Amino acid sequence: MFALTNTTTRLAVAGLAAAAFMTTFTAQAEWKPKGPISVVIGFAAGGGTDTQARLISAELKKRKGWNMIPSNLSGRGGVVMARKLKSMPNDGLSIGMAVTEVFGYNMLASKKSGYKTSDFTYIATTTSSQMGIVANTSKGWKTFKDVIAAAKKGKVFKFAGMSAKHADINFLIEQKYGVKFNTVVLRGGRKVMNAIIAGDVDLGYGAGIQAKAVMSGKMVNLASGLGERLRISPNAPTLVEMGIPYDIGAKFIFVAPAGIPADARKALADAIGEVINDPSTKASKFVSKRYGGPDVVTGKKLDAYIANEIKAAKVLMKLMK
Amino acid sequence: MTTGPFSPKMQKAPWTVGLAIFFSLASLLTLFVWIPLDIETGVIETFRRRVTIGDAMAPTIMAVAILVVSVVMGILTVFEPAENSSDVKEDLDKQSFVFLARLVIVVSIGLVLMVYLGPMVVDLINTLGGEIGSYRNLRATYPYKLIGYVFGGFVLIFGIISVVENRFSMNGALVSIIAVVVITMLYELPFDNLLLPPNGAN
Amino acid sequence: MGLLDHIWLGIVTVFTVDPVFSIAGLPISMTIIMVFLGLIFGIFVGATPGIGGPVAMAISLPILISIFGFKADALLPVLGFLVGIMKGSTVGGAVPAILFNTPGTPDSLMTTLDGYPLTKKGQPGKALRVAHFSSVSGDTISDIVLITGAPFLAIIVERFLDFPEKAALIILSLAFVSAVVGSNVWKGLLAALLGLFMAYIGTGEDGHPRLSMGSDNLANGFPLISAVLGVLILGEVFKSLEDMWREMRETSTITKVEVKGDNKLHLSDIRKILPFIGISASIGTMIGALPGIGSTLAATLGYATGRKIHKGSPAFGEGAIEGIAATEAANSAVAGANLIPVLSLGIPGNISAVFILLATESIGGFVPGPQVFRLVPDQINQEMVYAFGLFTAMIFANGLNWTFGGVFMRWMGVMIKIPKQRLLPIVLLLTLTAIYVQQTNMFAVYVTLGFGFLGYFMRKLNFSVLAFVIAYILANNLEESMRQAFAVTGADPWFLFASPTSIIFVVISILVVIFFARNQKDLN
Repeated sequence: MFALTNTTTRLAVAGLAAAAFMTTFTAQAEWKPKGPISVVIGFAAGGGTDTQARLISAELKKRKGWNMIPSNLSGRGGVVMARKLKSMPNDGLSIGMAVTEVFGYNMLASKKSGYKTSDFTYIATTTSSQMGIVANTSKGWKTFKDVIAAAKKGKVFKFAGMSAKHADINFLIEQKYGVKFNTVVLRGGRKVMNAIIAGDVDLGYGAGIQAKAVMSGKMVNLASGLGERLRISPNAPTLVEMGIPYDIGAKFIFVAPAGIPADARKALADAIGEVINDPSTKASKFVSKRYGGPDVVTGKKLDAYIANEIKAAKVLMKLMK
Repeated sequence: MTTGPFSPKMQKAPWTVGLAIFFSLASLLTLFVWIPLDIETGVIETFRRRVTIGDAMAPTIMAVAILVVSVVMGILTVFEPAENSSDVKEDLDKQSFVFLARLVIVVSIGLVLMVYLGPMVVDLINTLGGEIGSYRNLRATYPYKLIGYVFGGFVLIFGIISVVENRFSMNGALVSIIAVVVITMLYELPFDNLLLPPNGAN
Repeated sequence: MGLLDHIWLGIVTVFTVDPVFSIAGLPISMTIIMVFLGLIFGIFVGATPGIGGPVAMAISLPILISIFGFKADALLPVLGFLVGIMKGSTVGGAVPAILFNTPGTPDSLMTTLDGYPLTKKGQPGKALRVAHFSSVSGDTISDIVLITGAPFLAIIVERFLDFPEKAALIILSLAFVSAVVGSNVWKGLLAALLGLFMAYIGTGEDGHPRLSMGSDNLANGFPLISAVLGVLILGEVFKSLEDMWREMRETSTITKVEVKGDNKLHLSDIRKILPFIGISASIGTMIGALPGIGSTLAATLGYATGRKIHKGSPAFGEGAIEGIAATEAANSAVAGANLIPVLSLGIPGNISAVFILLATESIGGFVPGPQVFRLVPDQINQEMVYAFGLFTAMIFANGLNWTFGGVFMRWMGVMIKIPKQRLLPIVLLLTLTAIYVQQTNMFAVYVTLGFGFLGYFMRKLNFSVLAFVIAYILANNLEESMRQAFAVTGADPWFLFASPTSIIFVVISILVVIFFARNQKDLN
C-alpha cells in the first residue's frame, strides 16, 4: 500500500455516505436472511476485533431483527477463521470478521495458507488500526529518528512486533540505516504493551492500544506506520517519510465466502456501515475511542483496496527475498 | 520364575512397562517421521537475517525428553526392588474394558442422535412434502433446533445410568428426562444467541 | 496512583458497580450476589458426594461466561462466583465426612476420624460447628497471606525477571509439579511432558499448523477448555462410574443420627482448638503457596502435627474436636495461598487455580502475571483494580462464610441421599453442553471425550492428571517465552544460562527432580 490510504478512505467514506443516503430514501425490496447469521470472529474473545463484531451483531439484531450468532475461531492472526469461512455456505448467512492483513500479507507469507483472494466476498471494513512505533517516554526519545541515531552508535535495541510483517519492516529499517535490532514477535498488542512497560523490550509496534498511554504522556508514538501521521501524535514522522515506503496499517473487515448473492452483500454492508457510522451506537463509540473513528469501505472500492493490499505485500516480499 | 529381575515386576506393573515401551517407540517415530513430515520450519530458522526458534523446536525437545523419561521409567520399574511397588499401582483389568466398551457405545449412540436426528427429521418432513426449508435455516427455530439435543441428551444420560445400574428403570428414565429438560431450559430461556448442540456456527 | 487508591477502587468496584437491587437503601452489586450464590452452591456441592468444588467450577465457568460475556466487566462477577464455590466447597466437604463417615473429597478423609465418632456420640452439631469454625479460620488466615504476599512477590518478579528468567521459572514450576504430585517422579514427568507435547499439536507460528496431519479442526490445537475439563472432570466421572458399576451390588446403609448432649460450640472449645487451627493454617498456607501439592497432603500433615501436640482426652480418633480443627483448618488454608503463584506469576498450582486462570483467559482485561501489581504514576492500573476486587470478593465471601456458612452447612446433611450414579451422567452432559456452547463445534465435544478417556487411563495407571493439565496450560507460555528470550538476546543459544537468576532456576529444577526421585517413599 503506497500511502494511498488517505485518499481511499475519503473516497470510501464519501461512497458510503452516498450509499447510506440511498438506502434511507429508496424503498426497495430489502434482502432478508432466511435463518440465523453466523458471525465467525477470527480473534480471541475480549480483543478489539471481538468487541467490534459483538457490538455490531447486537445492534444489527436490535435494528434489523436479524438473528446474529457470534462465535470465536481464533488462531494464526485470523488465518484459521478464513480457512473455515471459505468452505461455509455462501448464502449470506455466514460471515466472518478479521483484519485486512489476513487477506493480504498473512495469506501470501504462509506457504500453505489454504485459501486465496477469490475465495471470499469482501463486505465492509469498520475502522483502521492506528499503527505506531511506541516506547516509554522515560527513554527520552522524541521521534523514531532519535532511536536511529542511538542505534547508529552501535546500541542494539530490543524491538517487539506483532507479526512477521513487522519483522520484515524492521529488517528494511536495519538495511536502510545500517543498524541492528533484536526483533521479537509477540502475540497481540497487549503483550507488546506489557513488554514495553516492564522494560523487557525497548520499543514496539502498537495498533491503537497505546492511545491511552500516549495521551497520558506515559508512552510516546515515535513513528506512524500508516501512510499518514497518527491523529494523536502529529509530530511523529511516518515510516514513508523516513524512507521505508510501506503503509503497515490494517483495517478491520467483515467478509463472507465467495459468491454470496449481490443483494445480501449490499444489505450486509449497508447495515454494518449504518451501525458503525451512527455515533450513538456502542460500536461506533468503541472504534472512536480506540482507533480514532469509523472507516467504512464497501463494494468495488473494498475489492480495489484488497487488490492493492496484495500488490503492496507482494512488492514487500519480493524486496525481502 | 520369580528369582529373575524381570518377571515379578513385569507381572506387578505390566501396563507401566508396556507404556514405557510404547512411549519410547512413539517418541522415536515422532522424532524421525512425524516431526520431519508435518512441521514446516526446523528447530532453528534463519530467515531474513533473523535467527529464530522454529516450530519444530518444542516438539523435538519434548519427544527427546519423553524418550529419555520413558526409558528410565521402564528400567526402574523392571529392576526396582519389589517392596517399592506401591508407586506403580495399576487398577486396569478386564472388567474395566467391559465397562468402557459399554460406556463408549451408549455415549456414541447419544452423540449420533444429537447430531443427526434434527436434520433427519427436517429431511423427512421435506420429503413428505412439508417444504419447511433446510435444517441450517431452522437451526434457531423451535422445535427443530431442540430435537437432536433433547433426544440425544436423554439417551446419553439414561444410557449411562442403565449401564452403571445394570438395568433399565422407569425412575432412571424419569430422572434423565427431567435433567435434559432442565439443562435445555438453563441455556434456552436466558440466552437468545446461544445454540445448543449441534447448531453452533462452525 | 498509589497502592491505596487501587485497593480502594477495587473495593468500590466490587460493592457499587452494576447494582441489581437495594436493601434498605444499600445497593447490592452483581459481584456481591454472585459471591453469595457461589458460596451457597459451593457448600451444596461440597456436601454432595461425587461432585466437589473443581467439578462445580468446571461446569459453572462456561455457563457464567455465556451469561456475563467476554468483556472485562464480566470478570469480577464470574471470579466472585468461582471464589464462592471454592470457599463453600471446603466447608461443605466436611458434612458427609462428619455425618455419614464418607468423605466427599480426599481432603476430608481425616475429618471422618474424629467427626464421625462425635456424631455417634450424638454430637453432630458440635462437630459441624467445629469444622465450620476451623475451616473458615484457616481460609481467612490464608487469604491474608495471599493479599499481603502476592503483590510483593509480583513486584520482585517484575523487577528482576526478563524473558529468559521467565522461561526458566516456568520450567522450575513444571519440574516441581511433576516431581511432587503423585507417587512416582518419572510418571509425573511423563505426564507433564505428554501435556506439553499435546499442547504443541496444531499450535506454533508457521502457516501450516504443526503436527496437525492436515486437519483444519486442529488448526489452532486442541481447545484448552476441552483438554482441561476432559482430563480433570470427565476422567474422574468415567472412573467413578466404573467404581459404582463394580460395587453396584453392595448396598450402603445410611445411619440414623440421634442428636443428644452438648451440640454447641463454647468459648472454652474455641480456646482449646485455636492453637491447632493456628498451626494447621500455617501448614496449609505454606503448602498452598507451592505449586502442585494439594489440600490432601495439607490435611494429612495438619492432622499428624495436631496429633503430636495433643494431650488429654478424648484422644485423636475418638472424637476429639481438636482433630477436626487440625484437619479442616489445614485443608481450607490451602485455597487462598494457592492463588499466590497464579496472580503473581500466572502459574497455576492446583485445580481451583486452573479454573481461575481459565476464567481470566476467556474474559478479556485481566491477564494474571507480575504486571498485575505494577504501579504506574498518575495512572490507574486496571488489572490491579481487578486483583484487589478479587481480594475484596474473597474477604466478603469469608464474611458470608462466617455468618451464614455454618447454617447452610448444617442443612446440607440431606445431600448424601442423592444417588451418585444418577448425578454423574448429568454432570457429563452438562460439561459437554457447556463446552459446545463456548466452542460452538462438535469437534470440541469429541476432543473433550477423548481427553476424558485419557484422564481415565491416567487415573487408573496412577499418572498425575494435575501435572498433565498444568503442563498443558503452561506449554505455549513456555514456548513463547523461549522464542522471545532467544530473539531478544540476539539468538543466544545459551539464553537460559545467561543470568544468575535463570541458572539458579534451572539448577533447582534439576535438583527437585533428583531429590524427589530418590526420596519419593518418604513423601508418601
